[in-house]
Formats: sequence, structure tokens, C-alpha cells
Amino acid sequence: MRQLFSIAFVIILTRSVVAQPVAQIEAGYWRFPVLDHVFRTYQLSHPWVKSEVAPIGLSTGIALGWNQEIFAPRGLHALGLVHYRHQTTSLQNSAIPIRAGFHQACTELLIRSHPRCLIKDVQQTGPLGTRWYIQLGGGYSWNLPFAMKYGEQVYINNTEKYRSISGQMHFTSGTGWHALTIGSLIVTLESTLTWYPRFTLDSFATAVLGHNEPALSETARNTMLIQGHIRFTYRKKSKNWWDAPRSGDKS
Amino acid sequence: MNRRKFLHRTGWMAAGSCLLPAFLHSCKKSEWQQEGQFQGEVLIVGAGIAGLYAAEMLIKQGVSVQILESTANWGGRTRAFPNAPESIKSAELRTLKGEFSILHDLLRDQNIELIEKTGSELYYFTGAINTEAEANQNTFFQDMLQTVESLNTFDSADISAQTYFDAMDVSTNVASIYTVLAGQVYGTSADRIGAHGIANQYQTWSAGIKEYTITGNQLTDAIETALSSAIATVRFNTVVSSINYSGNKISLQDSDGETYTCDRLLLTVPLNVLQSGAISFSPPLNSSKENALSRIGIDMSYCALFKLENALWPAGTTRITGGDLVPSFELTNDGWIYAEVTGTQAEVIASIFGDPLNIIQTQFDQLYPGAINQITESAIHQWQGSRSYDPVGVGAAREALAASINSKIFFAGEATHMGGHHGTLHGAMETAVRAVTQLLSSNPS
Repeated sequence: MRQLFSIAFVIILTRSVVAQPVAQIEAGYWRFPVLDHVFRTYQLSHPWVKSEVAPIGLSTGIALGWNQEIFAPRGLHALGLVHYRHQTTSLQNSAIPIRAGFHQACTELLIRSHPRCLIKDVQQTGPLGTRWYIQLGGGYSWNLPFAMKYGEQVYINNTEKYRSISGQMHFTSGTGWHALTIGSLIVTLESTLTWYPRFTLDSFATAVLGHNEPALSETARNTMLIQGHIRFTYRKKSKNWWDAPRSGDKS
Repeated sequence: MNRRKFLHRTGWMAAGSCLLPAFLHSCKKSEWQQEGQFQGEVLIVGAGIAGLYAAEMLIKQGVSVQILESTANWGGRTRAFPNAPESIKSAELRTLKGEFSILHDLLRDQNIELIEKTGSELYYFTGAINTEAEANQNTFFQDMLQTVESLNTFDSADISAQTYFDAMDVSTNVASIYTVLAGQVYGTSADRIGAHGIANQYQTWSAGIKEYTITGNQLTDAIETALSSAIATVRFNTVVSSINYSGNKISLQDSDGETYTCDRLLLTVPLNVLQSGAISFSPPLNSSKENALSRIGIDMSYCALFKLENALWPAGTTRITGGDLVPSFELTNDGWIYAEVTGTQAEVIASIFGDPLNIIQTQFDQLYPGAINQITESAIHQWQGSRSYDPVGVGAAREALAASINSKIFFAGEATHMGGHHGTLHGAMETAVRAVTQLLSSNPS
């Protein structure tokens, strides 16, 4: 197994040398019923508090990675990404301030192409394949949740402050459009849907609520993340759809 | 593609990418209110902290609530001396454990000044009062502390704390101190509490480690303000004697023969009331509930408060531990002494002929000879049930007690806490959150 990893690492390293580096800015929305339930329970259990602590919905993030053409005749490209996401909610301007959320690091491999390219070869595409594309992939992510009350990290038991790392697999699908080039940079707009069959945030309900009485499940099934991305890819080749549209362009 | 078309497409896509998450997020509700949420009539039995807090949450959700309380006071065990004169009530010393609890939030929100507990403790053993530094130099004392600490990770077959101390050969010179540390602080004595219970409570405690001192009036004043809607619904001096849940509606009868009906019932009465059979159920409680009631422990207790003309202890002393029948006394700089005795010790006091208050004061006089002649004010209250604890072999009794009956009758109160906060006010409040969330989403079977 170790040899397989070593070989895979060498291949990825070798290919990444000739690949196009990528940087990405992300904004996302979490569909996360179990976490929503935690914050609604917090709200329910503080009937005397006028302000609201909203469920976690928005996330922001960045990602770095590389893009690699893997099969030019079908416009197939691979995209390897390492993401960092941050999502938080808080109750401010109150006698009982609370801030809670989680950081997420994630590795992901995506394969993309144009649907028509799957059945028919294309002769000419841009440096990132077809201009409009769909993509599929998956990866693994790690979560580091946090909960602060009165500016202090909460305790999860008599001796330990709350610190818990958990992880899970995910699958991603999406679509995007290589919108324009600025010098050597290709700007891509993309939206994705990420599905987490099981999403685990150990002891998060206990940390936010201060107790585990409502017996909330710590594992959420079918958690979704809908994201919009703006991606910048550094191009090494001179092809440019904006300046000179090509016949293989599927946009 | 021309420039205009490009800008048009790019603009829409960029705006869509950025605004869609924000739009979806704005659609998320933060309130509990959900489709199909229960909206009928609820009766709550018991106006202790769990009952009041549950009522406040339900009222906020638009549910019709009435609380039936057997005494003339709301608050239950939030007051150690419910019938004492105002001077005693205002001098009541309460310790609030944990900075991350709902009760702490409530007090903070009501701008109650929470003073973190500081100061030194005294220990009485081998016939002398020792400071902490002196006690820590004593080998017996050190061994005892280590043994008490090792109970927190106990994972062998369940035994009582007393059996554990005997097995570890802890000196009887310091027995009255470990009786406090592994007994009285849990609402009982070391011969009754199970080692698993101590370990479980320690390991699952999540309310934080700070301790605060508050006086009785501060606590009750804050509760009165924060839970005012609930207090307004309390019907006092209503002793519920029977509950019939055989029909669609639940029917309750009080000791005066008056009948009350509701769609859902939340029982928050103390464990000893359920154990005593003072409330009859029709149909009777199932064997799982009966079994749970018999396995969870709750003892009688005495709470005593008295004041000396002058403090006889060094300034800054908060407690003296190590008395015989009364294992510990909380002390203040202005001469107030508070003692709570539970478990075997409380039953011994009850069995001695004489005034329990005088017996407790005499115990203090043994530590500080002549103190009994300086007492200016005093009060005592006997609780038939102080707070629940885990005896040997309690198992999953709390889970069984907390389970609802047919999604119609729900149980709250500190004894139903499953996560280590039983025996505390904030634990009682947390059970109310659980019961209310169950009730709001209930569909009777």
C-alpha cells in the first residue's frame, strides 16, 4: 500500500510540474439539518434572549491546486484541489456572546469535460478544455469545529477544552464556464454541489448547548454544500478563447 | 462573442455564484417553529426550575401552558429555605458550578454579578483544624485525595465509594473528608453512591470548571424576571394525586377532587414524589419506569443556615470540611454558616432525639468551641428529596425515567438528566429543553 502511495505521489508530482496552477475563491451555502437543529435548540433554550443566533449557512473559502489535461481528443481535464473553508455563526451584542462553527480542510480530485466530448472527439479546445464544462469528482475532508462563549473556548468535559477533528468522504458535481483571460490568467466561474453521505462533527451539539440532553445525533446524513467559485488558472500555453474562438469551443 | 454579450454573461454568472449562497442562507429559519409543530394544551406538574423553564419555552412557541404546583411557592429547590424569613433568604449561599450552562447564561443576561469562588478551605481531622497547606503535608490526607481523584476514572465492576475507600485502605482519620468529596457533594453519602456514578458524572460534565457564589435572592430575582411569563401561569397549592392517560386527552385530579385536562403533560416533580406513589397513574406505569424509579437514588437532607456575631475563622475562608455528623460547613466573612447534610448522616440526625438545627449547631461547636453561644439568627429546612444520585448498579435508569409515555406524558427534572448534570439546577433546565423539543414534535402513538 505504501509503495502504491509513493508511486501515486511521484506521478502527481511529475504531472503537476507540467500542469497549470490554480487558485480559487469560494462562497457556499450549507444544507445541514442536524447543525440547524443545534442552533434552533440553542435559540429555543434561551427564550429570554431578544437577538438570534442564526444557523450556519454561509461559508467562505479558498483553494489551491493544479489543472492537468489528461486526454486531449475528448477534452478531458483533471483538477486537483486543496480547499480551506470557514463557516461560523454568532450571537453578538448580548450579555451571552457565543461564536461557533467549523474550519474545514479538504482534498479533492475532479474530472471535467463537455458532455458532447464523451461521445465524440474534438480537435480544438482551449488550454483548459472546452469553454463550458461539467465536472465530477470526490475527495476527503477534515473538520475542526469550535465553540466560544464569553470569548472563551468551551469545555467538553471536566478537563478538556473543546477540540475535535473528524473527517468524511464527499462527492462533487458542478458546471462552469471559462469566462475571460487577463494576461496569463484564465478566469473561470463555476458552481458545484458537494454531497457528504455522512458528516461528522464530534460533540458539537454538546459544545454549543453546554449539554447533550436533546440527544442530538453527531453524524448528519446527506449534508449538501452548494458553492459558487471564481477560479484563476495560470496558463502556460498561448491558446485563448476570448481573443480567438476556436471551432472546438463548445460554449 | 462580442464584448456586450460577454459582459452580460459574465456578470450574471458572477452575481449568481456569489448571491445564490447568500439568498439560500437568508431563507433559513433560526426559530424552532416547524411545520406540524404541536400547538395544543399542555399541563406542567411542578413549578421548580425545570417546570418554569419548560413553560417559558413553550409560551414563546405559542403553546397554551398551565403549571400546577403543590406548594405556595414557585422555584422548588432554587431556594434552600423556602419558608424562612427574608433575612435568611437573602443570606442564602448558593454555589453555581460551570460557566457554560443555561443557568449561567440566564444570570448573565439578567446582569447578575457572578463572583468567582476564591478563598481558602480548612480541614478538620485528627482532632485539629488544618489549613490547606498543613493538610497537604499529611500523608493520610494526600492518599485520600489521590483515591478520591482515582474514582473519576473508575471502570471496574461497580461498587460503592465507601467500599472503594475501604479496599484502598484509606485512613479512617480522614473518612469525614472523603464522605464530603465522594458523597455529600453528590447529594448522598459515600456508602450509597456508586463508583461508576462518580466516574460517569465527572467524565460527562460539560458545564465548565469555574464556581461562582451567589446569594439566594440574586438567583430567584433573576429567575423571576427571565421566566415571568411562566410564573404567571402557576396555580399554587394544587397537589396532583392522579393522572389518567387512557383516552385522547390526559386527565389529572388534585387532592381537592378538581379535574384538569390537557393534550400533553410534562411531569417535573421531584424523584421522591414519583417514588412515593403519591401520584397514581392509570394505566399504571410500565415496568421499565417502575424499575428506573427504584434504581435512582435520592435522599432526605437538612439545610441549615445560622449566623455568629463574629466570624471565628480566618478571613477568606470559604469552607471547613471534616465534621462528624455534619461533614462540611460553608463560611462567609460576615459570620454566616451554611450546612447541607444528606445521606446516612442526615438519617442519623433525624433518628437522634432533639432539634436537628441544634444538633447541627452543636456539631459546629465541636469545631469552634463556644460558637453556639454566638448564634444570632438561624433557620433549617428538611427536604424529603434533595437531589438524585447514581447508586451502585444504576445502569440506564435515567434514560428509562426520561422516556416519554406514548408521546403524551413527558418527564423533566434533574433526576432525568442523562449527561452527568443531574443534581444541579442547570441540569434540571437542560432536561426541560429535551422534554420541550420532544413535546413540540410529538405525535401520540
